[in-house]
Amino acid sequence: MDVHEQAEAMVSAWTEGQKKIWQSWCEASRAVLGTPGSSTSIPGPFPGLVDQWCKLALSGLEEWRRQATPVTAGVADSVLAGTNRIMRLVELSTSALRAAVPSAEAGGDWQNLFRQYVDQLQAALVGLPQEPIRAAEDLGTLSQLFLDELGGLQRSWFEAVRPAAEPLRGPTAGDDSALIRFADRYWDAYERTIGRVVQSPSVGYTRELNTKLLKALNSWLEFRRAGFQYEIVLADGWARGWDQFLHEIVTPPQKGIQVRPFREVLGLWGETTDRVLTEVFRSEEYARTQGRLVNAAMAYRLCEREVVDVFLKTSHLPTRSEVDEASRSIYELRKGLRDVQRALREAEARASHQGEQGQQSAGSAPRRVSEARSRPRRGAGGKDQP
Amino acid sequence: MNEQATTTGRASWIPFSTTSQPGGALRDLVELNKKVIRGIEILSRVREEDICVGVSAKEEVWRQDNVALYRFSPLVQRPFPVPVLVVYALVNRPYMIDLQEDRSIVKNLLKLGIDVYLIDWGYPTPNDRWLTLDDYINGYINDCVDLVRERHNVEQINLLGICQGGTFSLCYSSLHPEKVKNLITMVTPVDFHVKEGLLNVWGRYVDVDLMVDALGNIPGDFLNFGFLMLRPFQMNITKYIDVLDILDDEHQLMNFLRMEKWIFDSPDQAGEAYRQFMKDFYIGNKLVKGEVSIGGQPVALSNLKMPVLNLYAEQDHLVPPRSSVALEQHLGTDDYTARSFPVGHIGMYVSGKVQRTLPPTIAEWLTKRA
Repeated sequence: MDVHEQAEAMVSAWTEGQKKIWQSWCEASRAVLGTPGSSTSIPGPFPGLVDQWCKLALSGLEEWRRQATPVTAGVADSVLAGTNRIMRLVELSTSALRAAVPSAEAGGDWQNLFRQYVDQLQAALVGLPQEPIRAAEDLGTLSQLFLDELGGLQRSWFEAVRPAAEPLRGPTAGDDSALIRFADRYWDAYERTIGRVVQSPSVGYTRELNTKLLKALNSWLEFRRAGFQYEIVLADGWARGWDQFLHEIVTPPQKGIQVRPFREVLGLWGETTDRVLTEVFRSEEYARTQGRLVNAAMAYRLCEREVVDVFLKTSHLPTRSEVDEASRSIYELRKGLRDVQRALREAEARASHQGEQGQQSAGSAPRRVSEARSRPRRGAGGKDQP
Repeated sequence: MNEQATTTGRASWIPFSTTSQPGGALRDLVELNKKVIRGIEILSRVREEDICVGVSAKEEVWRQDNVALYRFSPLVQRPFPVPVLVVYALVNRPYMIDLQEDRSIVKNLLKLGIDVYLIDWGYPTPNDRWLTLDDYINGYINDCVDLVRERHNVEQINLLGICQGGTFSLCYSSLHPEKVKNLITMVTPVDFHVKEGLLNVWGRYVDVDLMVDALGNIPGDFLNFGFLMLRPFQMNITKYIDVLDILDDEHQLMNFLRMEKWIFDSPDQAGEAYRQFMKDFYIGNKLVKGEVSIGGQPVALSNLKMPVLNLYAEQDHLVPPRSSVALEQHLGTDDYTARSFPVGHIGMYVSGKVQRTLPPTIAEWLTKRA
């Protein structure tokens, strides 16, 4: 498919999606305008629409971006993602509006209806971190994910471990609506079983490797756990941003009607969210949670490296640690060479200066700048040792 | 979108009109579709090589490892005798100051008769993982300064440090004051613990040693993620929605693409230098305490006796203004000038208004101290 065909496919997908949105927009308008007092009973025209549009647009995009350059493809992705978010906001706002209108017209407390959409927004725009929970439904799934991340290097080892985890399937699967409670239960189960094993010394021919693998598993689980906590804090921040946004658009009724163009509403939402998130980001809780996630990721990476190094050695390949050592040697040699070259230049400059002085015994030749080139602080012990 | 609304009291007041005519919205959608189709057509034609950055003619005059020193071709017959050496940050590429024909600090300085040199730090490789701040400041910067002094046969040159490069320039000028005639800092962090700062708060809970040990060089994308998170909605959502407005304008779209390229063209950070910068500057805030040591020598801002021009952005979310203006309290010079500009961090490089005012500010300030 050439560039023009790709563009055509993209445009076609886009147009198709837009047509459907258009039709639904009309239906939504009719639903709001045409049947006063009964809008809540009309089936919503939007559910599923955004996904459908997204699917159409992205299928065209996928084709188109195969030959696109990184920057333009990235922009196209982002533009589509941004537009997708607009459509989700439209969907959400329209649904909120449709639900609120009868209540508002009846003099009811419509504000609370709006607030109910906070949860929907959280699910639609941020998405609760379901994936880690689903991934952790049983240790079989968990181990598979772990295997995938390690590249299958030690698959055979893990295949042996997996059956041992089967009895844990029951206790750890369950109520995934109570995310934190569920997660805690899962982690507790891990700590009481595999976690305890990890801390025990291994025995036998594979002792060293097993120790490294179990350590890697342990650090990977901590990484997952920290990631889960981080996503909760982040999602909470987004939800608070939405809450604050709703507060801001509904609070000034004394000023009269606030008719806001859609883009203005979006701008206000963005501004409010960034302000709220900045407060969240500045909090100790966020900094601590983010720090825990980063540290856990780094610790896991170090453990992973130890495991990978074992397999690299077996395959007669240089390990990361060996490459680091070689790099350090190259760095020190380069640095030493530069110091020697610098010293040589200075010596040449001094010699040249002395020669000039000899020729012009009473002369006043201007001192060349090169003579002043120096690095006075570079003595023994004056270097930063990494 | 919403033409009118009615209200009968607080309970029935709603922020959106319920009696709007869908025609207006549909027209908006039609216009949007037209723009998107035109934008897709433009994007289909654009290739990576079309996104040109770094427009001014320049010559490489020195190279060591991955670091290069460039001299921009003067645009006047007799430039200022004392050249300006630009020291940029390690975290992004320096072509931001010469992004495009009509947005180039470099070109505007050249037009005003300033002889401009620029250090390009390049893209650190695993072999650069052990480079320290000493290597950057007393090694590369010092070698470049010496070379420029030698080429122009002057004892001292002018330094222009930008962002993290400004912090490096402060350290360098403290350690080698005899080689710096005038120092200009631009959007430069000095006090890393001002309350508006976020990176120092985050840094408190991150084990930097563990990070460097695990990653070696710190990936540019990793740092970029942190910067994008400083304003997540604006930087990740609103920005791309706003593109819809300019999607059918090729000139503006290319400007946008150039900016995108710059933002995500992030070199990795040499591990050891990153370790020291984070621990001593962001976490320890040692620069203003006089506790930074580079190559075994203490860095004291009170050593800066040369004239200093401090340029900062009033709406800077990366380097809060208070972080920059803190410099004045710690300097040893009486010749200190601060100038602010009503833009954000990026606006300092690309805002049309700043392009008209910032280079002349630098040129006039230097002329008075020639």
